[in-house]
Amino acid sequence: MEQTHEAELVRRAQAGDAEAFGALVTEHQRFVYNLALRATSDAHEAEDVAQEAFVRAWLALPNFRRQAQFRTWLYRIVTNLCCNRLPRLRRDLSALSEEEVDEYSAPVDERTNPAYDVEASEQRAFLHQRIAALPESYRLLVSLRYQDELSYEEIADVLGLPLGTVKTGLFRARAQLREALREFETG
Amino acid sequence: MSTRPLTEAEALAAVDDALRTYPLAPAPAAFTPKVMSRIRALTPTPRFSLAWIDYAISLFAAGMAGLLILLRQSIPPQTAMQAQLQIMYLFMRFNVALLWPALLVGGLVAVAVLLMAVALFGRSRPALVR
Repeated sequence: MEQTHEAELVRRAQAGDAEAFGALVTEHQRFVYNLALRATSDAHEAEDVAQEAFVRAWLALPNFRRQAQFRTWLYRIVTNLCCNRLPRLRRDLSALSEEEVDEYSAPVDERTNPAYDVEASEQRAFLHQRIAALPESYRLLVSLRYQDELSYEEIADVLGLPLGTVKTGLFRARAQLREALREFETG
Repeated sequence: MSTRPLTEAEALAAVDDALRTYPLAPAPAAFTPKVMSRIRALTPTPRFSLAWIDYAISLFAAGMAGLLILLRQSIPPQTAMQAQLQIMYLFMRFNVALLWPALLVGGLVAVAVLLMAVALFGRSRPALVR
């Protein structure tokens, strides 16, 4: 959604325009639902959390400062709700200690062999299964990073965690997947 | 499985690719209407209701109107004539020139009091009732 259009919808919703808020719900419902789904692993509970998050957002909208991004503010509500429902999730996130991790940038994949495409799609399907099997705290982190495309700073802000903890969590999630891929390769 | 083992960079690229392409589940059916109906359920529907003061004022006004009708019907014509004469005498003793300014000042004071009441009590509006 275009930033100015969203800002206008937020302004109208803050003035009590339910229709504008409905448009914001429609725009963000999928990401909010998926974020809740990653954390709860249950479709019904995720839907309930997502609905509750939007209701709370509507109630708290008069306090929303427009300098902040609506999206990150909304995600913070979702993650807080998830942590309230799953105390273990908050504990797991807090337990992620900070480690010195290298900034990772994806290398350019130079393999263009057609045989590799088949293999790559198998790998991808396997990795998707392993992503689904990651601990909730890691799933939440990778969802915010790769699906919602938040920066490390934004994730730290959403989850109320130190920046280093966020980096460590993402590093470990990738390391677990790398390890799983190694097992996949060795068959 | 693989024709050649992946290099570390390739493996990390594959992991990164899988993370980026991890599919999003579709939002549940009729999600927005469900949310909006929960929000509407929170917003109290304005209902017509009367406070005790409304009943008291209505009773007083009705009583006064009834009293006036009763008095008008029960006063004998001679007493009514006397009362009329008394009123005329009273007006003759008044300084009629001050009547209109007095009414104007009274009206302005009444408006000021009303505005003050609106400013004091009209501010606390529930957040959801707009």
